[in-house]
Amino acid sequence: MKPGRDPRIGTETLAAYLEGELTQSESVRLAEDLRQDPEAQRRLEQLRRISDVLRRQDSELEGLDLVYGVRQALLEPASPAWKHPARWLAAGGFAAAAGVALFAALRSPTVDASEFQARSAGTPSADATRWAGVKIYSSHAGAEPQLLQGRLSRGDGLLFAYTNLGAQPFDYLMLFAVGASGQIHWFYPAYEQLGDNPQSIEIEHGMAEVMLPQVVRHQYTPGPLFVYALFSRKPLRVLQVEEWLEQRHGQPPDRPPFRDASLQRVSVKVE
Amino acid sequence: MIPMPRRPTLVGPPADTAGEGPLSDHTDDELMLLARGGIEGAFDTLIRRHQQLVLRLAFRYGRNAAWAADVAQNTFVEVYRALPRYRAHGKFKSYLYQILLNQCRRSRRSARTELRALDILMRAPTEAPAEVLAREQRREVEAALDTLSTKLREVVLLRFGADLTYKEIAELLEIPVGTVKRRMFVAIAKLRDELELT
Repeated sequence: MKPGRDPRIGTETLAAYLEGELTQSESVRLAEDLRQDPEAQRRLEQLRRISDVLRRQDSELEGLDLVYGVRQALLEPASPAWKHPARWLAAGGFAAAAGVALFAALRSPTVDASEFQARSAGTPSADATRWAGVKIYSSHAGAEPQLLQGRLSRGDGLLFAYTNLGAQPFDYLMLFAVGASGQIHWFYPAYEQLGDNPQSIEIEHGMAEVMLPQVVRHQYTPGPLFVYALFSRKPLRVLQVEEWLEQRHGQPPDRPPFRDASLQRVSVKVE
Repeated sequence: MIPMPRRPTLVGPPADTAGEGPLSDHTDDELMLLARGGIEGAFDTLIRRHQQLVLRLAFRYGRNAAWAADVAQNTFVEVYRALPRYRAHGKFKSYLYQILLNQCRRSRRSARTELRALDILMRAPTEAPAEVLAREQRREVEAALDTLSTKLREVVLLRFGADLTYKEIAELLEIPVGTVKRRMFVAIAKLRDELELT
């Protein structure tokens, strides 16, 4: 078909057909027309070959890996395309530490996976919920801290590392536990004086495995203990959360008290 | 209930051990956020996931492997530099190819490109007859592509070079999906006409 001639089946229509952009009825009709139009069939085949050629991988580019080149380019101090060469170095240093922490967690045995699920009260936090959580380590009698395995001795200390990634990361975190007798143990924020009403701690966005700096020790009652991580977008007060827990009459919560928050519950046994 | 005074005891963090995580399981947005959070390997994973199509599109655009490699590399460097400002909306591909297109439009061949060309030439395998034929076909199509207007050409490249959907192309070029489709069908038809003439 030479350009300029007015074909019965337009080439643009054939292109739309090839791209699967016609409706089902249009496609059926076109297929019928094509059977009686060898010239249109030829044009369709040409279009198919063009798209195949354009999609084909190029041998000239086979085996090229840009990772090394990108890293080198980021390290070039005088490169006009890179105004902050130290960033890659700094990021690399931090990455090593953070990566080690993450990989350590990924390699470690998980804490009661069925319980280790953050739950969201509202859809807006769905993404953040997926990417927010804590890992808990126990410290026993001065030994090296270990990822919590579901059992805890009365005098053990607990350490926490939070992850707060996703498109809409959270802003605040509370860590507490509810013991067998209903007693509430606060880890973060520290709740040390009667009459105080401290609020959630602020957490960083886009961070993984951020280790909180303290080991917190409480005298737990032997029996089941539920450890909670409550992520939120607004700061919450300790008494506000205690009131919510008391309203549940001893039933351990499995959902957060507020919309757009996330609650992670870890079940352990105190011995 | 009466809160009891509690005073935490400060000790050091737990010891770390090295290991590997399944970074390839993460989405593009997740990898960007992990890279921003300093997770080693996250950005490398992102590069390796997309480099093939980025290179292909750049190659189709510039018709030169060395030029394409430089443009692709600069694109990833620019993406890395923009990490702190990146907003995860599930549109990483559109974001990436927008940067790539801008790089293609403004990039020019440099002395460094020539050196890289030598490098690529040295690594190129000996071509079989079928490969020679395929290369010739590609050159013909690429020559036909050069006859299209920039608007039509970029839609074709994004669709076939980068495997983007019409919706992704529309987001990237900031035009309606219908316009993308119209340009696409016109472009393919024009390409066929051009090849028919030669």
